Amino acid sequence: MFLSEIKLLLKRRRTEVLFILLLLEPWLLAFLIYQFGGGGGQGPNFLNLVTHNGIFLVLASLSSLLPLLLPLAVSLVSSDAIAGEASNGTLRYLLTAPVSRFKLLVHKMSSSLVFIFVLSVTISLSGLVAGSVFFPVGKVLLLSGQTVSFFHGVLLVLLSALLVGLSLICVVAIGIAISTFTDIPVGATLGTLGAIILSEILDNITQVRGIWPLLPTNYWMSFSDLFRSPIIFSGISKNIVNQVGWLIFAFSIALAKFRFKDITS
Amino acid sequence: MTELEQTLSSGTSNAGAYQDYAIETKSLTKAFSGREAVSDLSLRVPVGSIFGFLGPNGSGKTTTIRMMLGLVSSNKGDITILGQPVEQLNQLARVGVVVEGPGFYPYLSGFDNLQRFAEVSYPAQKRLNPETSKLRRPDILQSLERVGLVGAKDKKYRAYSLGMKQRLSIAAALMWPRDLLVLDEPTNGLDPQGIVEVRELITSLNQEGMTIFVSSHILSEVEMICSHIAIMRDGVLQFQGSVEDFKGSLSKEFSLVTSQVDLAKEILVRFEFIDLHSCKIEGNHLTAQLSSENIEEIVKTLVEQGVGIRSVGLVEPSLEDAFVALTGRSSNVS
Repeated sequence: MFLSEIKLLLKRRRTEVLFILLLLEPWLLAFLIYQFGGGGGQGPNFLNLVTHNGIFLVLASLSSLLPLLLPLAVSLVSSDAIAGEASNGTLRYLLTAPVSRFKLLVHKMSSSLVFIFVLSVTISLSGLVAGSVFFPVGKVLLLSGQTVSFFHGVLLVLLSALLVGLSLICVVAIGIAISTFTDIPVGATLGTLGAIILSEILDNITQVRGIWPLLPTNYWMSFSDLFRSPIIFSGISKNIVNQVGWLIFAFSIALAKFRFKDITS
Repeated sequence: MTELEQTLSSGTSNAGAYQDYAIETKSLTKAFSGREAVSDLSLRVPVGSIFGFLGPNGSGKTTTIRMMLGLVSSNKGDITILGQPVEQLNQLARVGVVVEGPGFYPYLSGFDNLQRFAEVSYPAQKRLNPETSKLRRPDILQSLERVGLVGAKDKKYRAYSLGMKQRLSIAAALMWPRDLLVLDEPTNGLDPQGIVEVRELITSLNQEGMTIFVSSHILSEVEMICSHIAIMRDGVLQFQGSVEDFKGSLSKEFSLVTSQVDLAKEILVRFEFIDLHSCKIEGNHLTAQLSSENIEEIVKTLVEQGVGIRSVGLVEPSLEDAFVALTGRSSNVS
């Protein structure tokens, strides 16, 4: 069943197109930086670092994709979980196959989770290749000033890919929860994306500082802490707790809604 | 009430044993936002029967089927499928299902769609029978062969015609060995040839020992193959039993051919020989349910009142007429 879900996901043209577009993003970014240089910007400025060391292209790509395009891609997949099956008319056939409703949710959830990690790792690999094609690579200068070997750097890059994948867990969980409430996949996608954008907006409003730690996007950029020595783990570990919390919370809502729902699609 | 109905409604002692009924519901009730879609429905589908579940659109057939398959919860009542409560999910592994039209992934080919459903249904088949092995490519091709879709197996589902989609859903329902087949309007969208093929398929599956539960709003489509029928109207069961009992329960119809058909009608109603509501006139042919069986008296009166008679007699009513009488609607208007 789990493999069947993965196959179903990969056999869909839409998923393939999404993948290709997201894998091309680092190349586009590399080309733009190569042409026009790194420039300013806010936060840990990976763009500036790229010209010195191509390895940073991965981080530049991930941090530019994370606020919007990655949540969009992931919510397209996760919100399709139940709503998509309902709109195809396949949900009633899955449940009479029979597959238990709990298992169906679990398989949808786990295949979407695999999807986000595969996505973030392949984007990183694509960025690594693009970075080394366009820019010099070598020893890596950390944000905190020390230098580590190239391979150490690659390891850190792959770890950040995993942390970015981990940050997207909330998008999967919220998407699946919303998709149990509607039979219209587009509605579920927009709802999910809306929730993420709302979280990002609230994350910038200081008046609601009190709820920041609960927002699913609050610790998203914590992966850059990997590039300090010693690594600052407080943000990263808070992100893990936050994402797992959202996973449990949203899955409980999905299960509560879906368990006894009348399937009329 | 016919004898069979009496035995059915009083036979609670051995009811529920799987050797008797493939499907049994007791006092099944379902309301959607206050309106009852199905009311107090007690159905008994004998093992080995082809059971026609009839009624106009909106009479509660699909809701009943969805409850039988555990898709929709009931407000009240019990459902037993193949001797076990429907809540026991594994039971459904023995049931082939086509409910409310085909449902497949538009972006997959016919073959890939069947493969997907073969994969997701395998664990339940395995739980039912540990010897079961996965369906391989030849098994799926065989299922496609059965419904004549091998040639279109690599075509995307979204490019299928409605008839092909319907066939694919029948193929999916027959991928595994089944004891019971639940078919909800299986001939929707099929051409006349396709309808004949589905009918033949149903008959041959039944001869292999499968119980078939088939719903339709078109009586004529199933009447010739069904051994039993149930008729629904507005969520309420109007009749259930064998087709013979159904025919036996109908009174014969008065048939009169005359050029003065309107005069004849007026007289028949005035003398209270017929019920005005059951009277139908087509050209110069009048048919009606008789209030009295005394046909001699009727003919005498008509002649005395100056009505010329070309032919007169009692005829067996068609099932279609009986269906209309029970459901209040013509069956082939959807």
